[in-house]
Amino acid sequence: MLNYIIRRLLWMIPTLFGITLLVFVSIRLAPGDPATVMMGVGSGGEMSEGSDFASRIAAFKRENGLDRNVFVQYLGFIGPFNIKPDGHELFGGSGKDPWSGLLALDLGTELQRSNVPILEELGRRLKVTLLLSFISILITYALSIPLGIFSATRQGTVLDGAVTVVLFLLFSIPTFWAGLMLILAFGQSGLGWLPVLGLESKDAANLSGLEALWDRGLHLIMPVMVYTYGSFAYLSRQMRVGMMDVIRQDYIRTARAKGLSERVVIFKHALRNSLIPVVTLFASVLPILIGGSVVVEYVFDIPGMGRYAYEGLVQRDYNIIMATTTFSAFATLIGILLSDITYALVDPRISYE
Amino acid sequence: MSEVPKIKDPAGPSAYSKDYWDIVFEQLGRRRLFRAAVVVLALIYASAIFAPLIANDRPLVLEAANYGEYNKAHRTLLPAALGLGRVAKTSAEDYLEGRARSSDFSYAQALEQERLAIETQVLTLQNYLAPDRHGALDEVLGAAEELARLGLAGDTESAKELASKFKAQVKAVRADYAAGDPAHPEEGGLQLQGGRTSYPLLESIGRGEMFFMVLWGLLLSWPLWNRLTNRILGMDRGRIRSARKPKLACVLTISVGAALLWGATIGGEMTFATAPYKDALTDGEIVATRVVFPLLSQGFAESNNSEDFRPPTWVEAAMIDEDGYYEHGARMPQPDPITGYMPPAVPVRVRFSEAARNAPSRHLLGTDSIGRDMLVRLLWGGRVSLSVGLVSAFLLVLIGTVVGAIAGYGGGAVDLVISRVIEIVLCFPAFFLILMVVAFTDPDSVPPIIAIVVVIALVRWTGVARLARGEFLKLRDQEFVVAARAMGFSPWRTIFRHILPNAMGPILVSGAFAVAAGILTESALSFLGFGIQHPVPSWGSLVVESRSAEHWWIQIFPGLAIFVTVLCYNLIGDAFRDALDPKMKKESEE
Repeated sequence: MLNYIIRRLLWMIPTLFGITLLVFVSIRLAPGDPATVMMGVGSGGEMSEGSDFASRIAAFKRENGLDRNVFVQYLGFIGPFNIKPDGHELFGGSGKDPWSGLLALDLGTELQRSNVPILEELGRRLKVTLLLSFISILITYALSIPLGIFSATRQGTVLDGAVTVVLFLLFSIPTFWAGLMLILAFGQSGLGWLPVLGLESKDAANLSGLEALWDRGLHLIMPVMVYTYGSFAYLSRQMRVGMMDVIRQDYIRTARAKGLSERVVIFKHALRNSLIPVVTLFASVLPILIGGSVVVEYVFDIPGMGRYAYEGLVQRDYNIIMATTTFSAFATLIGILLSDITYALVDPRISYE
Repeated sequence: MSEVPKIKDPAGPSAYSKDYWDIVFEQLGRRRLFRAAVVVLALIYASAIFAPLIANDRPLVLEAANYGEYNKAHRTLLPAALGLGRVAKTSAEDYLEGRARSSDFSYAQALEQERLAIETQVLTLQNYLAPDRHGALDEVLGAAEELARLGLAGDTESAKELASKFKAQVKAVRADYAAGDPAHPEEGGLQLQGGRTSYPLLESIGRGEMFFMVLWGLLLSWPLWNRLTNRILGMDRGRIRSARKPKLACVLTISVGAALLWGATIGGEMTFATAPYKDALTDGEIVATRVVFPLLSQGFAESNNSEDFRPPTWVEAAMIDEDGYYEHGARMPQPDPITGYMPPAVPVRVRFSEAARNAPSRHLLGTDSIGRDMLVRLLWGGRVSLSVGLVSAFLLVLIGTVVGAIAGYGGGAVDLVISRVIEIVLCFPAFFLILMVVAFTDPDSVPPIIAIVVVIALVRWTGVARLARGEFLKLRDQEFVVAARAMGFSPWRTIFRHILPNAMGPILVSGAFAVAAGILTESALSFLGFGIQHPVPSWGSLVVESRSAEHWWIQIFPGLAIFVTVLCYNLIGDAFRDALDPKMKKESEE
């Protein structure tokens, strides 16, 4: 098992490099660049040759290594050599700050705000997103497993039909629309029960511990709902199907024939096996949550990783985009690995030796 | 399918066993939800395909007295007559000497040109006049012809004489034929008649649009003509089955043929400009004797004064008074408490054929930031959203099937490589990647709609590929495939003629889900501001107009449209999956 995990972890390295290379090259080749966004050409600045403006752009590009060949830039992103003017001597730098890049665990600074190191900012943002995802995954599993069992054991009844229809409806709602509708219903314009934007109130600094927790909880309700409903609907359906598959098996019939109570049959004999497909779905839920975080955090104005990626895209900040992409690809890979491992853990027939 | 149920068929022994697809469709037909979803989707597609006929600012039929055009012809008639007289009076030699250096008209050509100018004006005038008034104008035409003939014959003297007579004649006609002001008939002047009937809306419908309209009609009437042709085929299942492909080909040929015919005759090109008809009709420049507007007479790009962010007009808060002020709600103007000054407002302009200012039907779903009607934009936006869903699903099913088929059928090293690639692509966080690529695509070089479709297909094909690979792995060692190979069929023929039809079920199911996913993805991209914006909106980009909770109508309705469409596709995919799954079938029989 350990062998297998290590092998898989090693496999992740080339995959990750492949993904980053692809993303890196495609965004560099695309038109539009951070220098012009920075100087505000888009907002009507005049650009003429030889002007102060053009030279400022050139300086900006030189400082950030944007004037190099794309593949040299990619090398700079990977590291460990810094290719900027103050970087390693090997790349014509002054040698002041020779190491940077992914291998040196340095993702550079934001292009627009050069005093903000991306790694720190990403860490701050991740705390928010991971908190949201963690709560959402917990809630999703806590709700969908019992609901799936409930539905499967009452197969064909009106209740089962109703549950199926509701899950179907939930599954078809566009994420951003769910967020907007919740805001309309519970925000200031509707019932006014819940705060709409951000993660805490403006005066959160003055609140005592318990009050701050309450405040934070109130702010989390709607985002978590939007985060959860889709994967909840999906998982519940899978759980129902998985349970129905298992109930039909011979050993369940045997258990019933022995005269065991329905309760024991379902929860002791059937439950474990029906969990297998649902547990492995963890891998596909994780990337959905990460991708969905862009929309959810945009709607609720939450300073998380998705919002960060969005800001990076708007500002054409290559460093932010590369950092967020690399991280989400990494998280997806880990998710897949985790689900493969849990697969082996819950189903002894599967072994990776 | 080995277990073919014996079914008593009223048509007699010639109607024998049903094949796989017959059974699948029979299963589907029994599901009420499936049927409802199909009907709703058919309606949604109809609203999108026929959007130009439902919601447009061009009239369907226009028979109108165009005072602007008449007056212009009326003004131009005398200068044209003078021009002809001038040319006819000069001899050919003098003309050639005196003509402008840039002109290369011969004398005869110049005469003909001047005469034509008069004829054009006369015909325009006659178009709007009763037949009993045509006589004097016909005489003008005859005189013009005579004058041109004299000029050509070189008879300068008679031409001079006739020219002065002609001038007086035209002057007299001009005085007689001045049009009155349609708004003030009592002031005298001629009242014009409706001219030729024109069809501005139909002329703006392009070939492609006609294709989809005909196709939709044929598909919807399928149960009807299908039953008819089946009866002609004698209800013989064998013949019906072999007629399936010709039927499909027929449907496509008829649609394409109709589209081409349309393009060659009436049809024109779709333009995104707003049409001038409504304004001209309102101002009285055109006075219609017969005009038919579509159900919703608003263009999707037509803005309305003072009606920016106007709530749906059946809501109390949407009432606007004569001066353009809101009468209720948050937007009611407050005069300055000290000076009593009211902020200025522009009155609402109710154009020809539009519902009254405060009629509930004026803007059923409200308006956007520059007063464009949301219902109309929703209808037109459906064209974009629905086609993005369909095309992206088609592309990804195509890519997935081909790749999966190669992997499953080829096996060995090919399979290993392809499986590896699929695994790598699966590692991409799909939405994130799509978002990034679309955000970085230059909208000038690649239209966003195409970028979105292609990127969705390129990122999402792996699901279908895995499915197809599994099916092919399962099927490739079955007897019928071995038999096909043993008969020496080429791999392509084996794959596409023998295996694929049997593997098609699950692939179609995932196709239905892919359409839903495509629509959702596009709307999310547009919502974030990276998607489709101009000139025709998509459902997602409609929501971008306002994030403010005050403008609830902008957020609710487009999202509702997306939701319903996605729900229908999911229902259809689900019903399909159940109908294909033998396990489920037994269950429903139990």
